[in-house]
Amino acid sequence: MSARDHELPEPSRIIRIRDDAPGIRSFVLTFSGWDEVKPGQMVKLHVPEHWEIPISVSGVDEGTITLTIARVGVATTALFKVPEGGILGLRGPFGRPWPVQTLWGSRVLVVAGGVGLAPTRLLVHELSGPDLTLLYGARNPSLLLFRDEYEALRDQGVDLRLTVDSGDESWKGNVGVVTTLLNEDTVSSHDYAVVAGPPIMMYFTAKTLVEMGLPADRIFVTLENHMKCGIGLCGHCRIGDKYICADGPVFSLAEVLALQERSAGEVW
Amino acid sequence: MRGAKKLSWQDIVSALKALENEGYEVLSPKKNRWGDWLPERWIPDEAPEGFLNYYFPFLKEAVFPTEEPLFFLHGDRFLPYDPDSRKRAFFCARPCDATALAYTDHFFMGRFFPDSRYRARRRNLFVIVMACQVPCPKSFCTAAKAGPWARKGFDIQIYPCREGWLAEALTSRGAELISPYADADRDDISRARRELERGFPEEVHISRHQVKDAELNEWLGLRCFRCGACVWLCPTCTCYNQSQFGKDGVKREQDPCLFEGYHRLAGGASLRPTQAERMDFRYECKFGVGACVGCGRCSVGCIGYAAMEAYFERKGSRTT
Amino acid sequence: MDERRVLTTCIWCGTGCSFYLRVRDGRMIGIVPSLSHRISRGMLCAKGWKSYEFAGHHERLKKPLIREGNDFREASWDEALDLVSGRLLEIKRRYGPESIQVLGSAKCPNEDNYILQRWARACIGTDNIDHCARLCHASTVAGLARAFGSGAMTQSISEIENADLIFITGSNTAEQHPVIAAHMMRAINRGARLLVIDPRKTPMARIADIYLSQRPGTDIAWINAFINVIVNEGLHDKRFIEEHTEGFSEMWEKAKNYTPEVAERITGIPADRLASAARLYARSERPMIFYSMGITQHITGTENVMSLANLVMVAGKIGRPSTGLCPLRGQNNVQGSCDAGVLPGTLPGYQPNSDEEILRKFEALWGTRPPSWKGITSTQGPDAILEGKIKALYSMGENIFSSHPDMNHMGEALRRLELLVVQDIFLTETARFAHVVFPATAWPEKEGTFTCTDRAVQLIRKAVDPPGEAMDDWRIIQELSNRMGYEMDFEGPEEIFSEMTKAMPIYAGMSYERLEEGGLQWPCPSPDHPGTPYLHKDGVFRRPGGKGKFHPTEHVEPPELPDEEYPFYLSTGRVSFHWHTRSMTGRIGLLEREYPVSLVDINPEDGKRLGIRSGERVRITSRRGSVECVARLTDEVPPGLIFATFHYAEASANLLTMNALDPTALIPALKVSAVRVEKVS
Repeated sequence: MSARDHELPEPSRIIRIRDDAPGIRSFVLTFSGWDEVKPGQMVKLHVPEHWEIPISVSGVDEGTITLTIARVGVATTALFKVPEGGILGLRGPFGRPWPVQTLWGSRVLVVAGGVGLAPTRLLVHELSGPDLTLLYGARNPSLLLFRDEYEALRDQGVDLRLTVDSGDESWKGNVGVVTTLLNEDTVSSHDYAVVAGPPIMMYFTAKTLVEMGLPADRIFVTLENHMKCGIGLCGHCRIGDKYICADGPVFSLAEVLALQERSAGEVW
Repeated sequence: MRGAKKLSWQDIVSALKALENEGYEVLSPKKNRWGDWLPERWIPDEAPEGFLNYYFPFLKEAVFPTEEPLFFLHGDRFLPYDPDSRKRAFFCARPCDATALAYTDHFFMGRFFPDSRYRARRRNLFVIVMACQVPCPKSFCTAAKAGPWARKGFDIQIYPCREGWLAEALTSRGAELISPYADADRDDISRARRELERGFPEEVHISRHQVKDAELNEWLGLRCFRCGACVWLCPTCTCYNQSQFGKDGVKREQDPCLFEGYHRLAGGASLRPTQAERMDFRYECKFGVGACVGCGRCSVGCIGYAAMEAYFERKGSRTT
Repeated sequence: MDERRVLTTCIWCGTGCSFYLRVRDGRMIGIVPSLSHRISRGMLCAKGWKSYEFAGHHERLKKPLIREGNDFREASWDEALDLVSGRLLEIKRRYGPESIQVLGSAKCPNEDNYILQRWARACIGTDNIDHCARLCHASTVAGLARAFGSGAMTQSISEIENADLIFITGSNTAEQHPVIAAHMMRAINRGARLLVIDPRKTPMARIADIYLSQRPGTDIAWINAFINVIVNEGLHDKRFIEEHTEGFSEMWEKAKNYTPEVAERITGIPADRLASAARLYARSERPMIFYSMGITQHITGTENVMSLANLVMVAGKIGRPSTGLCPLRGQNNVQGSCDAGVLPGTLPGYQPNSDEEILRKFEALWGTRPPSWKGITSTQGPDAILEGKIKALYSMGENIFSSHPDMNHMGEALRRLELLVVQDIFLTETARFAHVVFPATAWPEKEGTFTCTDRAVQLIRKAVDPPGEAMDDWRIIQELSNRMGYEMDFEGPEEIFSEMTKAMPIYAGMSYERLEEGGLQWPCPSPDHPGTPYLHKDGVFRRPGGKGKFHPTEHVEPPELPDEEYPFYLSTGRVSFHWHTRSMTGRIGLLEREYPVSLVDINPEDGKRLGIRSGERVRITSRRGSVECVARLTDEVPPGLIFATFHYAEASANLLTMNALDPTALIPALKVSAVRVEKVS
């Protein structure tokens, strides 16, 4: 951690707002810690006249970071009312990132669902190339994120396949949940898997991959459960003796299964 | 432990006066006109007779308050609120609370990110424990190894015994404070400990690895009336929620895990939608990382019948 | 220490818990419960633990407001007080004092209420004075006054732990009087049995030894059946009935027809289980009956209460500790507001204004003879306003728009008023209709007394200063009174209380000096009297003649029952985290988080049939209105019954309820109406 304060936010200006999908918006924000962000990490965003929420970083550029956020509750609803130029607050980055060192150079399968493409985006760009397969699904075509980047990824050799739960007249691609994109070759042709998306999607995808023979310690997920303080103190993300925000949010499936044993209530 | 000293009441008074001279506000238990014990500015002529413990965990409150403003937006900058780290010395703190303090020290300062506010207040908190002669109602501190004398979490620990008081220090500033007084034998202290332990029944067995007991959780869940007292009274509870303070500020406040809202996610789903699951979460924590010290407060404050007393009674043992 | 601890009494319910407010640098920072307190003994509910947080909210009213078109503008106290006093005098001159209605506040201390009713009666000359007891325990006040001579809880909360039978009906004690439930848990842990009779499976019902579920509005039937079983099996207390009561035979003329089988047909309670429960009650040494809105909020509310009184007297379980009949008063000071005479026709101390001697006594005390006619109730208000009989309404500390049944009707009435003045701490839904709004002090900013449900008068103490120019409620009234030509010059609440002790025999022996040590339970007739823990000792009732009176009661079907078009029973109430219309608890973070939207409880069988899942939006419609809520499937409600709250004005159960009134107590039947439920797609 740098000399920047992990407790006090720094003011951050909204440089640009982009509406990615109905109810999902990306904010490009100034942040002095932009060069410390690793793929899979999050920051704490202060919403004016509300409180702080933990959001994973979906993009990094010189002097700025991008956060891709879904409007789901009180704080995010208030956030969506702030215009470009508005001042928010940021501190971080926090959390255990994707194990890039381990994944680099291996054949990696990334399975993302819905907003799950946001915490994986930096990783996807980092690993982009012929060794990367990206399977991405959303509820319907309008909810597919970062559509303008698909061509560039394919050009770099990424095996990118899309699916939607329900299509529309213009949709020509696969229809079905993202697990329908997995086949018998999937496991034999990849060394590691990275899964991110709604809890139920991660659960079923991970389950399918394990059934197909991929070992649990080679599957990585991001459990963005209910994090609040982001620094392992407030207790809300605790499962057993692990804190999702500080011991995670990235965990191997093997670690998650161990947590499941110890936990009270849901892990997923 | 450093050293062993023999103290008279006058020695204690002069030690506390020395602390005052160093700029500490010395706080000591005082019973008010309605019979409640509260920490007040220490007055040299009184020894607190009949004091068991503060009902409210004032020692924890001094380093981790129930509610605390954190920062606010001032123009285009975020400014922290002052953490209020005035020098305070607690005289007659109890072993359970000191043990709890050692736990919260580790929790707030010894893990991922040290909490600067806690640390600022902790540095200026001087703890003088008076080991206990009488168990508190519904307590089981001996089983939790947090009583009747403290193993950790204090600067000085004083043992009442037949010939007056014995004292030992855990920190160097504690050792320095009692250095002027007469030496005693370490064996004297051991004897004082055994003597005190005789007054404390040991009927509770705490296992740090609790087996999931769905029936027990269900039973307790039906009798939890969701007041949050067990959290606000507990010297080792540390969970908090961040919320709006005034118009432009943010505060944190202790957040009971027995509440459904604690476990609710932004979209409305819940990680632990039933009271039984929340009871499980709490007990798994208290007997695990949460480090229950057996002070008994939760059982006194519980408006239903779902605190430690109920837990142990259902398991076949009994607190004090 | 550098912090002050101010001992005060809780603001929420009628239990009367006590705690210290911790104050540092003029700001409240926390709460320490009082371990030594007789009632709370260190315990508090969630609302109690967080109670002070609303007082410092930035939306507190800080300056008087005067309506300008659709908005308000801030004004000085002088301007606002002059305006209101002038308009009131004008309206009084034009239409007479009967055209003015004054509503007191069960949240305000006794002193504020006493001076309010004195101002209404002596200055304005109106007896149209009432408060929210009309909505909750008006049936208790009326029913128990007739049966026992005194409309209050007959026992003390501290006796509960010694009871051997806890009998709860129509009270969700664990959620509405949590610390009283805590005392019940103590009794249960010592071996007491728990009997609960309630249409809903409340938290206490779930752990009860016997739980019976009755059809809403059928309480007279099962209570009479209890009496029927007890008398027929010779379990009644013959000696007690003979020596201490009158009217048994008239009562028995009716009750003898309510066999358990008849009661089963009416209530749905299986006959044999009903009979067992009755025997259990009669055979217990120290049974205590607790009841609340489930008994009172019906068109037969008064008769429900009198039926319970009949039951208690038949079994002879009264007049000694840990027995009796315990109405659990809702508000922190609804008992006190009733004591202080904020009721039509009732001068302070329950002294009727129809009695010449009483009128003379008050004339001497107040310098003016109070009106001897009986005013209208708060529930009769909306109709009276719409009929043009009431022109001005002065409302202190109640959000009547949201708390009364049939919100649309109330809204119409409020708009019709020539003058509506609201005295409150936030701009509530009612205040938005007002012509003038006065900013008042909140509970931690005041001195005074609250009287809790077991008749204990307890002090509240000021901990912090009010925001802005907010003024003490009693002082606002005094200012108005002086400007209207009726001089009052109280220096403070203590002086007002002193007058109360002269006016009210039940408070006669009390003083602030005595109350400093702890609460005193009325009757406390003299300065050396220790207060009265339980009433009607040894069967000597407070009625003239000293005997308790039996009243014959008959079951009457509720005014609106489920039918083809509206097939569900609607029951209404609250949850433990919110207080009523949420003007305060909605501004306490943790409490608001626990219940952030209006929920309606639906039985899972009904949910399945209607295709509704938990979390989905549903529309509830009655003959009065329609609301959209979020459904919560729970077995707490039986099939055919749904339960909604009135915490959220925009989705309030009161848009659905009807203003059907008990003819004696004029309390609305909030517990029974008919609705239909539809999924919102």
